[in-house]
Amino acid sequence: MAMRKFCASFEVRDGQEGRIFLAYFSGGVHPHGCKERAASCAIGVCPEPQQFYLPLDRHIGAPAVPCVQAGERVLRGQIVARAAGRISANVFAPAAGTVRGVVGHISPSGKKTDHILLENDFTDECVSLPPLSERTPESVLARIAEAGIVGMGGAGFPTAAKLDVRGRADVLVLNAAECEPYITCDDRILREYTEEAVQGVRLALLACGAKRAVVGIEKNKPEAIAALRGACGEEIEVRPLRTRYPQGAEKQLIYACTGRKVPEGKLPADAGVVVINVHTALAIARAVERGEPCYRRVMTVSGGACGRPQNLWVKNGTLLREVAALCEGDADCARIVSGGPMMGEPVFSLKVAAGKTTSALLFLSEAETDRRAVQPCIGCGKCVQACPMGLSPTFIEDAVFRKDLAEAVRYGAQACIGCGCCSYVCPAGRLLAQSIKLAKKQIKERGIHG
Amino acid sequence: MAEISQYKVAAPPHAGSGDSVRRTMLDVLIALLPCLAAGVVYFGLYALLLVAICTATCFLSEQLFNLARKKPFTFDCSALVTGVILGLNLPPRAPWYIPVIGGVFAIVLVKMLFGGLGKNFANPAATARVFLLLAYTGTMTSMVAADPGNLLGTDVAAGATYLSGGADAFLPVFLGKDGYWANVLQSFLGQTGGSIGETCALAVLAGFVYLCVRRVIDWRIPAVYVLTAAVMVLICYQSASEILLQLLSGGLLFGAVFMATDYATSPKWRYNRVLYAVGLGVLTVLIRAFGSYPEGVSLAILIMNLTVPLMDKYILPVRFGQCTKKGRPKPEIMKWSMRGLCFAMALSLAISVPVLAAQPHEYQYVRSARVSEAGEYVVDIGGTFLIGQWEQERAYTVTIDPDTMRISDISPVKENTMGYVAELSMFVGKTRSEIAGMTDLSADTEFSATVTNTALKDMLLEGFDYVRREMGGGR
Ligand code: SF4
Ligand code: SF4
Repeated sequence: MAMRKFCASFEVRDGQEGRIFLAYFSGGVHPHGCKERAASCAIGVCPEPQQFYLPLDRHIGAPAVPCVQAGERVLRGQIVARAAGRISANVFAPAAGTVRGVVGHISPSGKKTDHILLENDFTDECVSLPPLSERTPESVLARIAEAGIVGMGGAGFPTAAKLDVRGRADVLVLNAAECEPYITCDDRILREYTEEAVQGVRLALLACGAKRAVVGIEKNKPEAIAALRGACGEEIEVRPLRTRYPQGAEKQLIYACTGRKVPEGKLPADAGVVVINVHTALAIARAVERGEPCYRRVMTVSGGACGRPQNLWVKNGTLLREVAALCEGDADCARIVSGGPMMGEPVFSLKVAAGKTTSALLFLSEAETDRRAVQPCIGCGKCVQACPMGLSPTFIEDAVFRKDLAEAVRYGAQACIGCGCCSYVCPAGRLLAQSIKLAKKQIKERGIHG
Repeated sequence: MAEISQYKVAAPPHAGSGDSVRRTMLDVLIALLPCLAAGVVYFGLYALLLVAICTATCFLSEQLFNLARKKPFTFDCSALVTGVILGLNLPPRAPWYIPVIGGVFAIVLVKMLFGGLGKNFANPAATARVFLLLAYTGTMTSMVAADPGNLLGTDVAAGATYLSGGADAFLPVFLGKDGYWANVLQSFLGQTGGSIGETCALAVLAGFVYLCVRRVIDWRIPAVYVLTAAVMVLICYQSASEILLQLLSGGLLFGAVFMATDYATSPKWRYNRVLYAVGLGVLTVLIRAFGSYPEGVSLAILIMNLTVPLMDKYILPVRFGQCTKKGRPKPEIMKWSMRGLCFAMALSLAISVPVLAAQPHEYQYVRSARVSEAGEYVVDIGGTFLIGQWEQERAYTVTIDPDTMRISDISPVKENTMGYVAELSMFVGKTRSEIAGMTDLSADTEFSATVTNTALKDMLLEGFDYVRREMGGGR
């Protein structure tokens, strides 16, 4: 009780709850940042390719439905596929050209899915939405939906649906932590498009009805922090956070920024918080101010086997091959990863097209990848200490192998956020995160509850 | 662009911390080196031979077991770690077959039969030590005195540990000092009797620091173990000065750093580890204080090992955002109670040690003391002793020179009529540590004269202590 009063005294003085008691999440790991090479490069532009393969399903929810015919000419910024329902997103043409039709093309998962094939005619004729003049929560939300904006940190949840919390949230958190090694696109955006990003946060605040915003950013980006401090007003607080992976994981970020713990199995909105990514904020600002829909993004290309690490504006539908050629991906590359080295998906083929959520393309050399042979668990407990969710990965794995799902639930398998810290630290090289993913899947399929 | 064709597709995470089992075990071996070095310095090359035999036995028995079970050979160095730890746990003059039997027991019975590395239920080295202690009690408890520099180990005297022999195990004078802090220093540097690797606290601490820096072990286990043991010593022995001697003696530090932190047999969650370490501390001191063996570390580790699976199964970390059935945040009882417990233990130590240490000293022999006009300390000492078959009173007045802290004069006040007179000239002109170091107090005359001399020596030492503590002499 006394403690709560003590906290409350700080609340009043600071205008924020429990400021000094903001504990950091426990666990986590500290991988090498490896950000220096790409972080020093200004954002460049990836040249337009001859053909675009526009993916229709790079978001959570139903794939978009094509609304153009083969042979039809489209302009840059013209809609080519419409959202199929609330949880879905519009897709726009990244360049002017002729639609060749809907084709099956390899997707990041390795399956063939529908893509719209667009032949670029390099005229660069464009259309855009009219800038939004009257700004109400409804109109901003409608514009965000119209512009096809999805969470650009990687998950790809349609932003309009996420921000539409109907007054349940009082804090908006901007996820600028960028805790994955190598990735620097958010850092560069914050440095180069500071005003626009902050404007995006203001618009998101308006749309979701929250009162204040907190920018959670890891301390290893001092330039971005300084830029933000200059641009943010009263209602937006910049909060430097400890550099530790997974600081940018939604629940850990909310905890570090607001001191609230999202209850297990609930959404951030249940704790009164909405989280958006830096790039999403930028996209919102552009959609509202300039009427520019979402058809391109900044992507970090880096890694030890990458000749010229850099940050690039890459249009959706550009094949990763083109990006690789530009950045001189090396022949001795041991692994190609889309996203960060901790959670990013392996790239099966460079024929995969870039999409709204492709935040990074990494060419990792042999030395940077994990080459440990898998051995039996030696019981060191490092995975238990490292898990930011407080699970016991080694015991969950054991339970999965014994097909004892109830036991896996008891150790908390269903709460795993897939951050990969456990696999990262394991000296026996066990693929714990994979086993737990499997456990989660089976638990869901069989409907077992804790 | 060169064609990228050789890449692999593998599940995330794609980066790794670079730890491996072999590297971890190598780190432990490196951390054991100072202990081994100290063992060789104090107990000679024979100690090294014992450790080598033990290590070789462990390695070979693991490979032979693999051969017999048609499994691939294992080169993860874990058998070497077990071998070195067990070897360092042996008495310095154990016969050659002791490490062989111990090594086979540790590897085959305790480790491999339960499934090898990571599957054993108890620490192989600790279990083997307990087994050897039960099977070869005499051999396992006969220690020799440390003899630095005597590498060939000729003519070493039998020696006791502080735990088996009490304060007599210490040299009366160590590095020119005497008294309590000399004893502490002696145990810290490890120049006492004991197992090969466990006597030198300095070497163990060096290993501890290395292991913590390399993040091989969790610092919580040794730290809480030692903390709990300190509190338990305070409770069981009611003495503040006992704490350091107990902690530095026997295998407590060695066990805490190298044996209690064994991966497979310690709990996985950090607060379970605290609980485990508290259990270790309590058991160790209870066995030392009330058990029939002077040493309790291995047994305590063995017992606590058996509780580890239970802890791991039933005391789980509170998950991030976990709720109770009613939908409230689940309280982190284990976390706060363990933190509270450690805090309380540290606090009670911090309070009671100064209090106990500041208690007025009791003096058995000092009757009165004063500073003479010449500035010399004059102390009247006296006591009743059993000399011959009679209780006899002896009293002297001692004068101590304040500059040199040497005895300038001893004059008898009451010497018994029975004729056994102390050899006063033996003591005049000596400092406290010189007197404390005197071992040959026999007089030519008679046995009872030796007893008288010894009585005088004890009284003089106390007189010195009185002058130092109460009168500020020798500063
Ligand atoms: S169990 Fe899940 S949440 Fe925990 S470290 Fe592993 S991947 Fe991350
Ligand atoms: S980190 Fe690996 S070796 Fe250590 S307990 Fe976890 S699974 Fe076992």
